[in-house]
Amino acid sequence: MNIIYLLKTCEINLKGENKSIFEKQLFANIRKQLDGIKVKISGRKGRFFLTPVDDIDEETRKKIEKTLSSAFGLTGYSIARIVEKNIDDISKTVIDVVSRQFANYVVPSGSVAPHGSVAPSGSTAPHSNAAPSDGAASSDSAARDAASVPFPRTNCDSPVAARDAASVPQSFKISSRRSDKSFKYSSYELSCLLGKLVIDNFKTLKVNLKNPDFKINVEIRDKAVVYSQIYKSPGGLPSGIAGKGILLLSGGIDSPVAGYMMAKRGCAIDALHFETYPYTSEQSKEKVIEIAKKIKTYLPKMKLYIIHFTEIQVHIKQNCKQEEITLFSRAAMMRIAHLLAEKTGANSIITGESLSQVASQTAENIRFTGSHTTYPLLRPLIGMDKQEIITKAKEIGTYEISILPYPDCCSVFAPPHPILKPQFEKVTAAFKTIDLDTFIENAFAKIAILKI
Amino acid sequence: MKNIYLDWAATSIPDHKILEKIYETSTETFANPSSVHGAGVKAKKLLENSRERCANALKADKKNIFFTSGGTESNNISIYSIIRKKIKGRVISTNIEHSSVLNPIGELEYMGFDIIRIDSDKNGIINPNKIVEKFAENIALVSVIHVNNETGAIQPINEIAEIVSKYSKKIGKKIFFHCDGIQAAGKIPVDLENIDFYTISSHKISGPKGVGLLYCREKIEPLYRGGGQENGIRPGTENAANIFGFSLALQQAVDNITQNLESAKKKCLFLTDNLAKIKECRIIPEYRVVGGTEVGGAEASDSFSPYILNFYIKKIPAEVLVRVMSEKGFFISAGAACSSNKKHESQTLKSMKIDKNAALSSVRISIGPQTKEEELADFCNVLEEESKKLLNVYK
Repeated sequence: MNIIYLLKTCEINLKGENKSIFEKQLFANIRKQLDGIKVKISGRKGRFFLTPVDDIDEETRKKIEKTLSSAFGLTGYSIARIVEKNIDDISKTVIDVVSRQFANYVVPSGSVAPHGSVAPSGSTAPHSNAAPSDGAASSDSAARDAASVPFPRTNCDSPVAARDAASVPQSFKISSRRSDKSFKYSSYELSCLLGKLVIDNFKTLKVNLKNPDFKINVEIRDKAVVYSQIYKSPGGLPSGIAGKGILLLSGGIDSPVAGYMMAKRGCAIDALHFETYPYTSEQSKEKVIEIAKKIKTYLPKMKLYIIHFTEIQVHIKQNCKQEEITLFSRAAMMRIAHLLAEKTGANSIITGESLSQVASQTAENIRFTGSHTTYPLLRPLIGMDKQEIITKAKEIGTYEISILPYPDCCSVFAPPHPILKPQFEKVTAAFKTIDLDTFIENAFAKIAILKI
Repeated sequence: MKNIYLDWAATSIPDHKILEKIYETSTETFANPSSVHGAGVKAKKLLENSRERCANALKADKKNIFFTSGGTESNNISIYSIIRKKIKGRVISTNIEHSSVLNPIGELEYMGFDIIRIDSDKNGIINPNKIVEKFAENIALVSVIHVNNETGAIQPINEIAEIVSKYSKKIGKKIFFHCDGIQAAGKIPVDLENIDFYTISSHKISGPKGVGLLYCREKIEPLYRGGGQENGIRPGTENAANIFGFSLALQQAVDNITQNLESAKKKCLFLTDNLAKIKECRIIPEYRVVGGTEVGGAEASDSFSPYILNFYIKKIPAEVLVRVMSEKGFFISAGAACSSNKKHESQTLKSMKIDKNAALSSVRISIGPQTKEEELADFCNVLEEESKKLLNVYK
């Protein structure tokens, strides 16, 4: 059976003259992430078809679906089946797609299996080959059937869990579209015909046009296209469209989330990590690499730069007031991020700062650290509370890595009582006296790219 | 840069000649010692010869020697031997045991045994009288480590074994005495009199990893069930070639025990003298430097294994010092704790009432027969230099 993917965009559609630039970037990102899988992408007005050029196996399918469910710029996608443009083939496919709606629900043993209760009565359903004809089919056999069909869409293998598994679907809607006007039935006629077919075959289902539990879409194009579920993609804008940002990546919970959020707004990202070996362990660097790998699933082009920060950190510690250590270290980091942005052609710096979360993130401190770069500082977490950030970190899969107990340089050198409300002129003058320029130059000269 | 390995208590540098012999043997004598055919008989013979070699080295009866997968397994088999007892009696142990004893004893507590854990004195040594105080008629097991793996403190195990044995006779009931000998065997003299279980690990004495020994003179309930190998105590196909290698390592260690020990004492003395000169450096326990005859009338140098020395540099986290020294080519280990992980807090140093900050800075240096005095001199020089720099950061 042939399948194609129907892609949906959202925010891109609001663009005017520039829309095609966004679309081009989106498709280029998808192709890059597909890493050699040949696809044709066609369509317009926020609806695109992605057609694999060659026959695809299960593994390739998974890769395509993983790509689509992580592509910024897409709001969702459907897996559509392509069949011949005749009513028999379309009916057969619609019945099959409907019966698979039930395969998504786990039926407690002992209760009546949905297939059992909705099984076609046989004589009235010539096309019902997908559902077991035996009305007494057990839930086990239903589950087996579901597993053996070519589209097993259980919650665990679909990119995004399709529906709440608690409720078995009760209502449906057929939505037809006809771009080939020579087709025998009009869209309305086709919907009625297929709707009746479904009702006849699945006795528990009712039509609900306003708020159906699921929708079956049928499109008559050069072939007939049938699809139902829409899987979620992250939305936002295709990464790279907003240029590149340098993400200060610490290994904590916040910075990966900040990176994700800016990527969603179209930023390509290069991450920058500061290590203070031997004051921190090799494992804390490994941890950052693991986090970077997670972010890389959304941002295939991301690079991870690493700066050996130890000499700078020690020099700061030995030459400033204890309460200023964290603040001055962050200022030095900002200077290095600025240098890296210049070197790599980035146009912004991204941090995981959240106002008042820790002592170094007061408005006064943020003003001071921000004064060490002329690039715009993007702080997507500035107004979020910790719990919101944690929820997001869990969603993108970085939380579990971030909470591993390997301290980063901030925690090792943190003074017991860091300064909260520095006077800008005073700390700026104090920072000048510690004379970090040579240290920063030396560290930046030895910047390394880590393989992720 | 040459690396200097000073973490022998974690694992020793393997003996090349022994490794070669293991390789040869494992290709030639590969059969299952339980097989009846000629190849099996040959493997069985190798196994039994190895057992005899170990028995001779330990001056023990070979019927009491059992091969295991290592020290942890030997300790577990010993301690769990009492779990089938209907009346869950008392178990006396200490707070300075290795985790392969501490943790199974924790499990016994969960099963309902009455666990008494004795604290050491400030020098890390258990006073036998404290054990006597806890004697009771329902006592099932006493377990005391021979040489503590963090401080090197030698416990008066023969004295304890004797009082346990006497009390056992007095109440007319068998009390098992288990001793974890993993840091002692092949390094200091061992007298197995009155000891029921004694455990040894091969890789601590330059033998192969994955082999251990359990000296057991009582009939016990095995921990695992299987094909009945090792008289049922440790079922599973024996690793004959590695066991052979281990027996060679044990024999070699025991044959050279006196001269190695004398040489280790000299190296240890050199080390303590030089470390004591380094700013902010302290030996744990300090008794090892100041000397005296506090413990049972013995000289300080006789109360500690010269192969292990614990020290700290005030304020410098152990992990950081270990990494800095590692960068310079010296491999030592963080003795006690890692600041970011409370679970690894050292029970031993806590039992000795060592200040928590000192414990967080505590590192262990452990030497072997091949360690040279020049290497230790280099170590002290580099340590002095590096700690000076670190003290500037951690002032």
